[in-house]
Formats: sequence, C-alpha cells, structure tokens
Amino acid sequence: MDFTLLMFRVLASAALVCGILVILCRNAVHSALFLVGVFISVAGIYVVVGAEFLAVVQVLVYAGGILVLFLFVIMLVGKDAMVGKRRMRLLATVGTILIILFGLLMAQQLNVAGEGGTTGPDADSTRLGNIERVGLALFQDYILPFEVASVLLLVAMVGAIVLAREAY
Amino acid sequence: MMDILGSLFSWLPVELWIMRPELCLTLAAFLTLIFSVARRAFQPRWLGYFSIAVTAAVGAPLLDLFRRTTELPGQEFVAWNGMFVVDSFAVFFKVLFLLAAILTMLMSIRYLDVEKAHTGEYYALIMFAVVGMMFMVSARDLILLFVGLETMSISTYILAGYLKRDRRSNESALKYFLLGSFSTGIFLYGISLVYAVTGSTHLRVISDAIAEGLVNHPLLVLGLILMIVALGFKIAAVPFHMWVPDTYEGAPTTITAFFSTAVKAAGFAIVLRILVEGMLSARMHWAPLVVILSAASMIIGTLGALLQENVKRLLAYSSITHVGYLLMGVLAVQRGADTGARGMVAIAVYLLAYTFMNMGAFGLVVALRREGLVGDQVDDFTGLARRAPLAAFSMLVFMLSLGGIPATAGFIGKWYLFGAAIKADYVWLAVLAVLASATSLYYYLRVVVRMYMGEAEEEGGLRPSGALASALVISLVFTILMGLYPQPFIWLAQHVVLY
Amino acid sequence: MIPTSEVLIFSMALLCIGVLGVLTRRNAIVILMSIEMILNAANINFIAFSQTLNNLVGQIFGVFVIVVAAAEAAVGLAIVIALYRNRGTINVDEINLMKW
Repeated sequence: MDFTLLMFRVLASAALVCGILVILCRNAVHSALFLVGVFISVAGIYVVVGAEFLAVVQVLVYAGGILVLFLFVIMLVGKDAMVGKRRMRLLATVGTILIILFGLLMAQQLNVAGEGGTTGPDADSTRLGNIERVGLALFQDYILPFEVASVLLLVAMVGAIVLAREAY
Repeated sequence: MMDILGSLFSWLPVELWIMRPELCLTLAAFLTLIFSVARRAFQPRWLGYFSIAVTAAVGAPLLDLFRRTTELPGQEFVAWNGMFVVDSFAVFFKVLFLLAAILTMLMSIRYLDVEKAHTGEYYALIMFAVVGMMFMVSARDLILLFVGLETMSISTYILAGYLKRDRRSNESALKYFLLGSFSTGIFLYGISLVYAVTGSTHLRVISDAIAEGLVNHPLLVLGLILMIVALGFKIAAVPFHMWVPDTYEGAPTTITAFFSTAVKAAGFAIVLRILVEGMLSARMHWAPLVVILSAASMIIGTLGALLQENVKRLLAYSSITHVGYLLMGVLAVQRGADTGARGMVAIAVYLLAYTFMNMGAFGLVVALRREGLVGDQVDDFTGLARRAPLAAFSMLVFMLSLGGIPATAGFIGKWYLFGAAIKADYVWLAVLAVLASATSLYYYLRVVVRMYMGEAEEEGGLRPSGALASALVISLVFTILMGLYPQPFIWLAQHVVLY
Repeated sequence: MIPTSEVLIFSMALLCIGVLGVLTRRNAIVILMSIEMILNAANINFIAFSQTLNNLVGQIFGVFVIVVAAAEAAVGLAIVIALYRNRGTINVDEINLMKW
C-alpha cells in the first residue's frame, strides 16, 4: 500500500466519522465543530489527489467562511435551539448502521463499475502547476459561468441583507 | 424601430450580441438595485414601472433572435466554448419567462403597498431570477446550466420569504429553501456520476458517449436517476411535491404566480434539454421513471385539491396535476422537427396557455387582497359576481380554462398534450389524464359556484390598480383568444424543437 | 494511487450521511449542515475523477459548487434568522402553521 492510498483511507475515514457525528450530536455547536472535521479531511483528500487549488478554496470558503456563519447563527438563535430530540438519535443510529451495510454492499458492486481506474496526480501536469491550470481554464474556457456566478453571489448578498435586516 | 435597436448593439462581438437580452436585463437589475438605495428620490413604485418597461423592452432583441433562429430549421448561434446556445427552443422559453415576469410585476405594485413591503430589491430579484432562467435554458453545458439554475433558485428562495414579518412567508421560504437546496445536492451528485462515466459536462459530448455504448453503465444509470429525482423536486412532481402546498400558500401571492408559471416552465426547459439533448439514447432508463412521476402527479394532485378551502393551496395542488399532464408530453418528445416533435410542441402550447390562465387566477387572489383581508380562502370569493361582475367573469374563464373546457386556452393545451401521449402509445396515461381533468372540474367549479350562487357579506367592488387590471385583462384576452383562434400560438410553438 | 471504486464508496457514504441527516434531524441549521455534506460528496467525485480522466472540467465544476454552497449558506441562514425572529424556534417540526 503506497503513501497516497494510505493517506486517502485515513482522511476518508476521518471525514466519515466526523460526518456521522455531525448528524448524531444533539448540540448544534458540536455538529458545527465536527463539520469542520469533514471539511478539513475533504480538503486533505483534494491535496492527495493533486487538486491543491480546490483544497485551498475548500479551507478558505468552507472552514473559514461558511463555518463561521453557521456558528454565528447558532449563537444568535440561542441555547434552546441547539438541543435535539432523543427519538432522532435512535433513528440516526439505525441509519448509520444501514449506511455501513450499504457501503459494504456497494464495495463489491463498484469494483466492476469503477473499471479498475486509479486516481492521483497526473504526469502531464508537471509543466504547469494545478493552480495555473485551473486559473487558465476558469478564465478562458469557463469565463461565462464564472461571470454568471458573480451575479449569483450578488443575488445571495442582496438577499441575505434583505431577509436578515429588521426593516423593509 | 427594430432597426434602430438592432444598430444600437451592432458593435458588440457576436458572443455578446446573442446575449443581448441577458445583458440588458442584468444591467436593468443592477440599476434597480442602485436606485433602490435612494428611497426618497426613487419611490419603489417607480422602480416597479421602470422594471416592467425594461423587461418589456428586452422583448425586442428576443423577437429579433427568434426571427433569426427560425429562418432555417436547426438554425442556432453557439458561443462561449460551445456552452451557450441560442436556438428557437431557448428563445421561446425566454419569451415565456419575460411574459410571466411582466405579469408578476404588474400585479405586484399594489400588492406590495398593501403588504407595506414595497422596496426596489423585489423587482431586481425577479429580474435576476429571469436572468438565471435565461442562462439555464441556453446552456448546453451542465456547468452553465447549474450556475443559471442556482441563480434562479436563490432569487426565488428570497422572494418566497420576502414578507419577512409574515410567519407564513418565513415558513414557506424555509421549506422551499431546505428542499430546494437538498435537491440541488442530489442533482450535483447525479451530474458528478455522469461526469465520472462520460468525462464531460457538455450535453452533446455526453450524448455521443452514451450512444457509443455507455448506456447501461451502472453509474450512468444511477446518475440519471438522481438527476431525475432532483428535477422532480424542481418541477414539483409527485412524490417530490411535499414542499409545494406550503410554499405556494405562504409565499407572497404574486410570487406564487411566478413560481407556478416561470419557474415551472424553466424546470421543464432543462428537463427537455437534459433528457432530449443529452440523454435521449438512454430513454429506456428514464421513460419508466417519467411515467411513474406523471401518473402519480395526476392522481395525488387531483385528490389533494379536492379538499382544499384555500385558493392558493388549491391552485398549488392543481399545478401538481398540470405537471403530470406536462410530463406526458416529455414522454412523447423526440429529436428533430418531424413527427417526433409533437411532444415538444404540446408542452410549448400548454406552458403558454398555463402561463396566461394561472397568472390570471392568482391575479384575482391578488385583487381580493386588501387591508385586513388576505383573500386566499374560497369563502372570500363568495358572491363576487354581484360585487364585481367583471372580476367574477374573468375568474370563471380562468377556472374553466384550467379545467380544460373547449373554447379556452386550457382546452387547446390539453388537446395537444393528450394527443401526443396517445400517439406515443401511452393510451392508459392519456385516459388517466382525462379522468383527472374531469375530476378537476369539480374543484375549479366549486369556486365558480361560490362566486355566482353565494351571498356576499360585504358591499363594494374590488378597485384593482391600473397595473393589476391590465395584467388581468392581458391574461383574460389571451386565455380566450388562444381558445378561439389558436393558430398563431401553435405556429409559435411549432418552432420549439431540439435537434 | 487510489482506486476509483474507493473514491466512489467514500463519496456515496458521505452522500448517504447527508441524506440521512436531512431526513432525521429537525434542527434547520443541522439540516443545512447535512446539505453541505451532500455538496461535498458531489465535489469529491468531481475532483477525484478530474484527475483520473485527466481533464480539468471536474475541478472547474468544483469551484462553482463551492461558490453555490457559500451563497446557499448565506441565504439559508438569513431565512433561519428571519424565521427565528418571528417564531422563536428553528425546529422544523414546530414550524407547521400550514397543515398538509
């Protein structure tokens, strides 16, 4: 077993454990903290497969931006909103066991489906780094969705302000 | 006039030239946002009129593009690395969105005054939603389609919760948002599996890859199923409809009208784009799913509407039934302009008719709204015929049209749609649709009976604003016109073809 | 090197966790977190297969998914705040002014 595969397995397991804890925790603050674990592990996986740019964006946007927003709102809506119900915990536990069974089942199916391909940093990308290649593709071939995305972010910003401010 | 407008844009490179409608509308939305900051100088009402004027003016470049794309069959303009395409299909849907947006904004001006929630951002958000829809129907690449879809969705989440002091509006927005973004996640996972198998997000490349023998790849089939589930959420087909009644009831009535016409039409446009242009070779995998969605939507929608005492909720369930009818058209769709295009024409005719009649029906609910009366209960319509005979008559026409009575727009739409289903050998589905529309007459006529037989508790007419009255008149005239003289509308719809 | 089947199993497991969270949890904020995990699951596929297939489309898609996730989180949390201000709860079960 080589190093990248080992790293992938460690990070993937960490992400799954954190993910299960996100939906099992009764306190929303704990869920948010485990969600950081998911995001960081996934960012680590991006590094392992050679997508450094996405890894950086993942950490900056998810762990830096979205998570802070989550925590901020949890604090704002107060303590009573943080506590979940027992009943749901039981349901989620049963569900988790089902997921693991499903995963084991899929594992046998997907060896056929995955065509035995492997993934890792490709050899051709040595001339340009990952960030340069993503940047060039984004600003040359995919400039139109990039511009539309800027409209989308403006809409989200205006919308968040419209909804969250008290006056009309 | 056309020439002046044409020369105004002639300096643009062709990539931008074919995007004139989107560019103009985005610019107008920006201006509305900027103006809305200065509330003293620019009253929201005037921003509303400005938005309506600009949206109507965008029709001119669209009609020009329509003329150019229908000169030859299969004529299309492609730009931006093959991901943005202007064909007659896209232009038809863009016209439909503009129409729905104009009617929505006309209805909104007085409504927002009554709700004491009149700001310019409202109009800007409607225009941004339309921009998103325009990009998504013109997208031949799933990346652009996804970004356009999300621009539309995020604008509509905000619009659903726009009356932020109204609890029902909050609740509507939350339910719409949670299920909408959940379906976005499912949609993305489906796309990611399709990408994993075919190695591309461009619909034509995906189509070629599927035709070359990937059609039974298990991951591709799973991805396709997930995408259909997500699209089922977006167009509100049973069993993915649970958000519809609550969202439609709680959202501002004008926005409900917008959801049920423009947003739904946009959903069908991408269903057609993806299934026909990208996945037609995998028809044996998606057709059974669409059959189930269609039949379930017709049954559950009709049964759900029978019990409703709230007109907005009733129209929400009826819109689910209409989704069931429209999905029959999807089953009859094929590529090209020959016999196979019948399904596409039927969907286009139906969406056109549905836009007018549904807008009109919601317009009447808006007209009933005044200080101290929400106006969305069936009881609120009691005795309307004596108070406001003209309004009652137009509601009668819209209800008959939604029920599919001959000489109204709804009948023409149903005629084409049911005919397409029969020609595509889905006779039992067409029979089910006929049964559903016969049953649906009961709940549409219930409103009519209350209007004409009941005794009004109050006196006085409705006094709608000029803008609202004109929106109602436009809807009424087109609903009747399309029923009595459908040829021009059918001619228009016959250009809706995907090659 | 990482076999694609393992990537798929991982992303599907994360997808299932997210779906389960949406279906079982009743706190609107935790539901939103679960949706973010679903988006992450899709992104893992896009980015891992981008390297397998040796084309960049998947990574570009990944960038847009992250943009959309951020926009959705902002709007979703604004809706939650507006709701909390009026209702004093963010529990989806208690938000049932309108019956089915």
